[in-house]
Amino acid sequence: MATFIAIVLAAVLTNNFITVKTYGICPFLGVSKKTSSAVGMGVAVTLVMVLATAVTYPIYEYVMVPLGFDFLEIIVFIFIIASLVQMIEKIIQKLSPSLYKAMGIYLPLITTNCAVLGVCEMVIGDMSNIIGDATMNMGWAVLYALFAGLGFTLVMIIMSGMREKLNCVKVSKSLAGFPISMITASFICMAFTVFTYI
Amino acid sequence: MKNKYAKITLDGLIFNNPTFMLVLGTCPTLGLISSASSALGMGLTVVVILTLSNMLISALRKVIPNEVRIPSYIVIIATLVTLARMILNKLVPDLYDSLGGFLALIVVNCIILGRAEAFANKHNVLESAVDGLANGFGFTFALTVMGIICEFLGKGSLFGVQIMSFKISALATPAGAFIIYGLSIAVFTYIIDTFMRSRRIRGNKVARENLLDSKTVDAQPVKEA
Amino acid sequence: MSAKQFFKGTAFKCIVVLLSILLVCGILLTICNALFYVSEQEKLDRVLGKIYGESVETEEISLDDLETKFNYGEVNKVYKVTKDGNYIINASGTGGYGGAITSWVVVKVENNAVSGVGNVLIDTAPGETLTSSIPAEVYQYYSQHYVDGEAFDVNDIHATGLITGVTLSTTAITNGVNTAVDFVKSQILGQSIAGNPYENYAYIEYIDGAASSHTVDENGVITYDIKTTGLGVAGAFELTISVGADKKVTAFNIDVNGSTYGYNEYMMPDILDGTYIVGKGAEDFLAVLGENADDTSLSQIETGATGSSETHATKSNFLCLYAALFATANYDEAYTSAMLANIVNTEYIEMDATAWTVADGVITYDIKTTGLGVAGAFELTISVGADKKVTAFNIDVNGSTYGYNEYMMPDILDGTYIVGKSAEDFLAVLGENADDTDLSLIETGATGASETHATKSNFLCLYAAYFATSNYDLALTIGGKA
Repeated sequence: MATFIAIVLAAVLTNNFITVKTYGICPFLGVSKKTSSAVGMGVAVTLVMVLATAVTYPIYEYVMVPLGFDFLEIIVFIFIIASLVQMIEKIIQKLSPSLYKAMGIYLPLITTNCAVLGVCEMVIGDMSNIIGDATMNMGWAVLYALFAGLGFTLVMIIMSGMREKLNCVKVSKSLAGFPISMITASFICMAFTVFTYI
Repeated sequence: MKNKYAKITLDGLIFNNPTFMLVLGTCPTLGLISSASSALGMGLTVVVILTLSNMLISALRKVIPNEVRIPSYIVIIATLVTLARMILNKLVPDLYDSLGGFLALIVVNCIILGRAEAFANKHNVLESAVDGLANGFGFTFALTVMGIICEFLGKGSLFGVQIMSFKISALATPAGAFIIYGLSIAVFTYIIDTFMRSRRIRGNKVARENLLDSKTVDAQPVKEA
Repeated sequence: MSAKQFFKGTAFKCIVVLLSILLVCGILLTICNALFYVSEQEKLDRVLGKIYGESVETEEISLDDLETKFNYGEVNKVYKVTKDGNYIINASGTGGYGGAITSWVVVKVENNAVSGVGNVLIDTAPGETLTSSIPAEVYQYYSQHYVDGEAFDVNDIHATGLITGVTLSTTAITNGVNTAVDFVKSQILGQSIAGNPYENYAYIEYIDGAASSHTVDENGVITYDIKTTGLGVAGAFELTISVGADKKVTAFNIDVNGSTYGYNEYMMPDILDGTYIVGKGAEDFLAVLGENADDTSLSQIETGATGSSETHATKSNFLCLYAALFATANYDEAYTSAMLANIVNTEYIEMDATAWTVADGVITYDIKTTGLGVAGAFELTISVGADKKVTAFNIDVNGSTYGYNEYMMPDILDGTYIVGKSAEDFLAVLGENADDTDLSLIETGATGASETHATKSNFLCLYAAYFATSNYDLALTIGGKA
């Protein structure tokens, strides 16, 4: 139970992917203009993060490490992620066209989202500040991925809310666009810094 | 002929600077500019990987079928990143540690795949190499400048050497990185805009057109990813 | 689609190209992996190099046959730096807020002796919340203030003003450093370290034996300088407690109050000024204290003695009472050991190998002397009567070497010169040391023999007799020594 809480708090708040680790910034800045698209992107990223971790973690721990092929991790991981994204896209398209309409357009962008590769790399690496090495297993890894994705979605939604309000404000020309988005983002980061003291 | 390379170089370094103008590769930028030496180290690593990947992809552009080009590029880039990781781990372990997870994430850095898609698969090896170097150094330049500002204000040090005891610690956190990155983009675009306008006022029509052209040649916006 | 079409189509070309790229990349990476593989040893050397301050080659020292537990902590891993013989030690020091803190400590060795402490870094500190507020200067303190033979003391670090608070974490780090130094001294260099003189005493759980001491005066009053361990949030107390011959406390003073966070103000006033403690004996303290601090029934004191109902600072109160219990309960042992410390003229006597028994006012000593120059150790049996004169003298083991025993004075060999003499007689013959000995006094005066060989052997026998006679009173008081 303590591990569960530690993982949830770490993944969502203290090690939030966007505000603390700065992973997945491209979709964060690019797809956060509207809340609806932010939610769609967030859910899609979370889905891929969970599935990718569920596939890469056992392959790495139980196949690649015992065979001594752990140095191929980057190639294998990125290939798995790319294939997964393709598969999910096809499956969603078949099963639920309406969901595909809502989510499908974000899926191709996710392959090169560092949050996905980032979480796969993280759970096989040193997690000792959150969970002891000995207790790390696939369940915790997937759980971490799930909550890291939810933390990502949370910040996406906050950001989109702020940017929707920004639309009503006149911003000076040189600050318009990326600069003002980043300054907005920095305020969210500052708010999240508080959680690192938990 | 010579002019072509100058244009590619200027594009990569300034007018299409991947960090300031196209806002690509943001994750390592925000994650590493709190330390100037990590920022510089990341920049130089990207220079090497980007140049090599551009050259390889350009050399193989006639061999690789269009349908599987993206997976092929990814494999090539992933191989180069893995190589870089091995070499850094062996020879420069301090840099390896300070880059942390961002080293592996170079593989999904939009700049590298972006240059492969937008430039290397349409140009010859030499041009691609120059483009890789130009964009890589454009990225390095941007990261190092912001790294110096961020580290100086946030930690009171430069490249790890303590200079002053006054510091604004918040600027060494991701929050500070966002602010400094945002303001740097604003300042950089302002300077470029002013520069272009002054060219226009002086009536140097040819130069202006050259510069304006160059800005649109291969600035086809790489998708946010 | 026929097979032939398939082999000519784009799909086949795609697969072939992709697979060949994968294959080439895989082979390239496999080769490079072999070239650039970072072994576990290399990773370890890097970690150790960071601790040491420069990259070094190390060898791990096996701890299988060595003692790893010390007064203040435990040694976990030891690496020897190959090039200069220094040691990098991973040691856990006790006394932290949440238990032990494990630190990396560099112990420098020069000329077969510990010459200083190098870098100190925290490895793991589970349960500590304040380690981040310890400034770097504290870690440097150890390398700058090493004094051979003295353990680091947290109070000294606090006295520098580098930190306020963080007492417990600093205590644990300091204990780790002391443990590392003790390990190198005792297990690697083979030196004896200041052990715990109170090891076999009762009620030592919360007493820092190595930092405590006691003396006894002529009235049998023992004065202890006691340092307690820390207990929970309460830091170590330093107390001066006197216990009279009736085994009751005669004086109590708190020299250093270890109570933290202002709890010293909440301590019982009667304990603070000692009024509750003075006049009480071991049974009184035992009645109040249970097995440990949590059992302590302070209510007995509070209502019974002073009527105050303050129940704060339980642990600080406990430590003071516990120290008083230690002082009173161990009166006999402490008295004996203090008296033994008063035994004089022991320069050429091996006290550990010397014993005596008392019977009807006659003390029979089994004395072993040290060696002296070419003369080896003598073992002698000497009896001293109630008139403080030697009544019997026998050489059990003659340490004289190279046949010098034949040159020894015959009157000493058979004891005739020694029996019947008192301490003053021996002192008149013996000077400050063996070279001062004026054997001519014996030779001409007593037996007329003019043999001047074997001076050192003669000296040792006379010195042992001098030791036996001059300590008669003390030996009688102590009553016997095994």
